[in-house]
Amino acid sequence: MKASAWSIPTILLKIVYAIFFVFPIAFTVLTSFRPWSAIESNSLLFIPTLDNYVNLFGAGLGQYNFAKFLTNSLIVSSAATIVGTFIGIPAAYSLSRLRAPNLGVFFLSFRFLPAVSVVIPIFIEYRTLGLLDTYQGLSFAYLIIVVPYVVWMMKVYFDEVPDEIFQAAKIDGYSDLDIAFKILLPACLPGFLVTIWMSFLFCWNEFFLALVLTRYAVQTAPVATSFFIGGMGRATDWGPLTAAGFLMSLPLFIFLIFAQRYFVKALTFGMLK
Amino acid sequence: MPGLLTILSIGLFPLLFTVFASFTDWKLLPPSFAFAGVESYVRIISSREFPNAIRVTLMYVVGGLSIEMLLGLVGALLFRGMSKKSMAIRSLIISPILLAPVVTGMVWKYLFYPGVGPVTNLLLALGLPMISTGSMDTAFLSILIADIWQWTPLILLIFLSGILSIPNELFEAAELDQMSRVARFRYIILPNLPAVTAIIVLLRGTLLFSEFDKIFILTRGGPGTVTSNLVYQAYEAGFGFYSISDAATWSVFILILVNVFVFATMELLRRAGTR
Repeated sequence: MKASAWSIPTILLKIVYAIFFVFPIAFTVLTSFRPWSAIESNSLLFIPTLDNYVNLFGAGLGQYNFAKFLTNSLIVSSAATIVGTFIGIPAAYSLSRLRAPNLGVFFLSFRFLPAVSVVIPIFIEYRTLGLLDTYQGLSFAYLIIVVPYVVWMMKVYFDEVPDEIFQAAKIDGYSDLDIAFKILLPACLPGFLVTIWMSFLFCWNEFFLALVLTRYAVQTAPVATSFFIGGMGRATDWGPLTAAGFLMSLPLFIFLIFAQRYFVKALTFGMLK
Repeated sequence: MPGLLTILSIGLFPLLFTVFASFTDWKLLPPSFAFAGVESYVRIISSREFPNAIRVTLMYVVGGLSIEMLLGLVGALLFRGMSKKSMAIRSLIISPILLAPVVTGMVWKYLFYPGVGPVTNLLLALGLPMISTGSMDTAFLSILIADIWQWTPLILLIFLSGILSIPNELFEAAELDQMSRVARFRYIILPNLPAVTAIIVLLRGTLLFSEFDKIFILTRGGPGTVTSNLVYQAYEAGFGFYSISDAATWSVFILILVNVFVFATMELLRRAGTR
């Protein structure tokens, strides 16, 4: 497979392939800086403007008040990630080091549960308990995304830590919780950070549960964005919408820059490295 | 174990509750609740929406999975270089993976939007029929394209790690034997891919069964019910018509389908001799 073996068709194929995957994002980011007149007239000759972002964050009439929804997303995703991590790590530890019943696959299976099959009872319980449209309610529901993922991934990473380290800590009289948080966790720090970041992203991107379990007060950015399309009694306002899409994707770009190496493993649940 | 408790309270318990609710006639508006046996199953199976929803769901799984795997494999072969440049290009190509499905839906809704969408403009300029999220013929296609765009890169990465795990000696031997590219693909690369293929089918298949976000953004299940899969029907029943029992029944059908699918794939994984 030498570079000289590249033929012209292969290069053309590569270009088409790359354009298909890169163009949509590039054009969306571009549009977020186009004034409405340029969007409407399909013109690519324009003076870049921040009007769309101003409109997106403005709280006035016909504006989108997006900061509120971003804040909601941030609060709910962070809360679920932090709580889920603290719950998940001891479980992962016991699956990895204590001869706990082999429940790993049981945990992981919940990650593949269609959200629709659990959302109805959660909705009804929340209605009774007054948890609909609250931060606590949505964050708690998000634990069903975070906990199985953290348990499974951290078990995978814990398994890779040499047994000697674990044995030595045991002999030194560390408690199980101390071993989990103070010995094993630092030993697989990059994997741990990627796991947290992925958990956060799963919640940040989540749509279905947020759609059903919130109204306006705790509405998250994805749900708000879905209502912007054709909303507010006018033609779809692509400028602010694309701006919203770009802002919501920023956490992704950070991940791509810093954690590419761990990407495959994190997304295939440790089945591939 | 708090982990187990959490899973039970927001995972297993609601799951059983859903199955239970499917055997009632529970409605929120007007409020009603009584045990009804298999009444809602009979009603849903005999409804016009049911065969359609099954068809849409399966078309989505089969269409999405096969095209994504084909394109993903092609991509993995095209972009398997390990130089700095190749890796930079690759990281651009894979960026759709972590985009929120809502953002993906919004992006493609925009690209396809009549009048302002660049893809629509391009198709019209080329004299091709436009793809519209609002047309009976192309609404499904528009969702499928958005899904393919978002998830092919993940499959590319998985195939790539499969290809990279093939011992280099095999390629060197092929070089010595002056094997053609096609032969190299047929006899070296392809035989080494069953395990990663099974993983792809498992990961993507389960999610394709429960697709909702892109359908909601792009078409709201329409026009009519052309793009309403089982999940969308469950959502409509529960949160459009406030019929808890019908929504639960639709969900049970999804669970059955997904489970059959997972067991079949696991069997495949087992035969391929991996975890």
